[in-house]
Amino acid sequence: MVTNDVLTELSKKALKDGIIGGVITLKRTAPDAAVHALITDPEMLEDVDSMIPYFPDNCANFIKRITKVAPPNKPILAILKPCEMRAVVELVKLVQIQNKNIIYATFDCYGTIARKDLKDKEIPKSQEFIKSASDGKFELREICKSCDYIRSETADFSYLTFEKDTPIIAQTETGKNFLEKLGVQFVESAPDEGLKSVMDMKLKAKTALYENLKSECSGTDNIFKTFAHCINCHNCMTNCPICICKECFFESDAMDFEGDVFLDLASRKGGLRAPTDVMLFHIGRMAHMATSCVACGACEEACPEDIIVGQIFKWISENVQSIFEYKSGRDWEEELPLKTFREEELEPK
Amino acid sequence: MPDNFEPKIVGFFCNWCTSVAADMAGTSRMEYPANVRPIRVMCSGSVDPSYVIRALLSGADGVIIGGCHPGDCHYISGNFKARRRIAILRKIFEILGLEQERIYLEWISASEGRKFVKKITEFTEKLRKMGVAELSQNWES
Repeated sequence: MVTNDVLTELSKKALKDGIIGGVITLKRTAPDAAVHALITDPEMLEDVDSMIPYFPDNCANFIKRITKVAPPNKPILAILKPCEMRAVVELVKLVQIQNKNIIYATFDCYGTIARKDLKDKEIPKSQEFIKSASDGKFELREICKSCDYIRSETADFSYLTFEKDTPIIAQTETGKNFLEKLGVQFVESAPDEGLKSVMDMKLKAKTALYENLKSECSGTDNIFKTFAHCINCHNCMTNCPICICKECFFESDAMDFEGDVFLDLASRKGGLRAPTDVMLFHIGRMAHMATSCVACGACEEACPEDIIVGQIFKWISENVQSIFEYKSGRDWEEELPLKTFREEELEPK
Repeated sequence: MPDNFEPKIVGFFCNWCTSVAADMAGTSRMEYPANVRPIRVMCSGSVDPSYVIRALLSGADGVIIGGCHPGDCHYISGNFKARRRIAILRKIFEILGLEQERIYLEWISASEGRKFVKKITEFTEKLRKMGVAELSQNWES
């Protein structure tokens, strides 16, 4: 059986030719589920469709895991969505990924379908999905509908599904060498007609989303209502590629007090909610990682209570990053806002 | 709002400047509103945004962070980092509609006892006018 998926075909050949030691891609585990997998056997790629519209987690976490002790000696090809590539760039800057011997491939991404919406159904094939993604046949995740980072420019090479004839573009020397070795045709400058029309649609959706969030979630009462169902499970944090602290402040002893202190806290307002510190956790987490949030929505997918936490974080982090004219994961060179400063800026008042 | 509303203010004051200024104000017998509860920290850069959030969620009507003037930080760049962190936090509050005016950052050096008094008075007056912070009243926090 031949899949139509170009990136899978290409990685199969690279594996067979011994150019790479393994490939990281999505692989189905059930009709309605898929996982990221590191595959070394080309046979196992037979049924792989690397661009299925499914988001099990942010793959940057997996790459972090693989390179944590030491990066591989033989290159690994990682097929990523643009938001995952953004997370990789942020994690490299945060010294969490040892960026050696990983070849990054991305593709123009229309978006993915929420895992909850796919339950007991079938994840559509990428070809089928791409063909009808723009006519609204598939209900995408909110965060994907309004995504403004649908093409990555930091990967080694990209598959431009938005463009006519869907070319592959080499974006770095590594990418160029890799594609040349494979004998795959590629271009060196990207056409952007297709990108523009998809982007227009996404930006319109983003404006609408932000307006909606402003009226629904802004203000003390609204923000408490938004997080009213929170059970403080910290799933959003565990699944966040950017939340990297080994010991989280919000899970530390700083949250524990003597019974008398809890009584005092309760008596200030007549009562104390359990689990405690829900708002502190969410606003605090925002303040800690909004400068690097890549708006992948892993948090929202992981939320057992369907809180729109991903949309809120996307909205906040875009505004926060704009203070520093920064966009997380857009560029390898831009410095992390919290790692640097200008002598003259942001004077209070 | 009660007529005699007195805002509760939590102050995070740098050990090397604003804390000394507060001392100076005291030893020079200058008067300032007793609304502020000072907490001495080693540097304004050591004030994690979550301290500020916790104060505001636990009943404070305002938080003031006092640090050294730009370029004067005892640890070279702590105050520059504080400035970025507070700008981020204020932006978050602004977008969430949570009264970012209640977070206040001020540069007050060790010799500026008078400025300390002025700024605390100003901030207290401002908070008196603003009234009780909604955030501090919500029991679900």
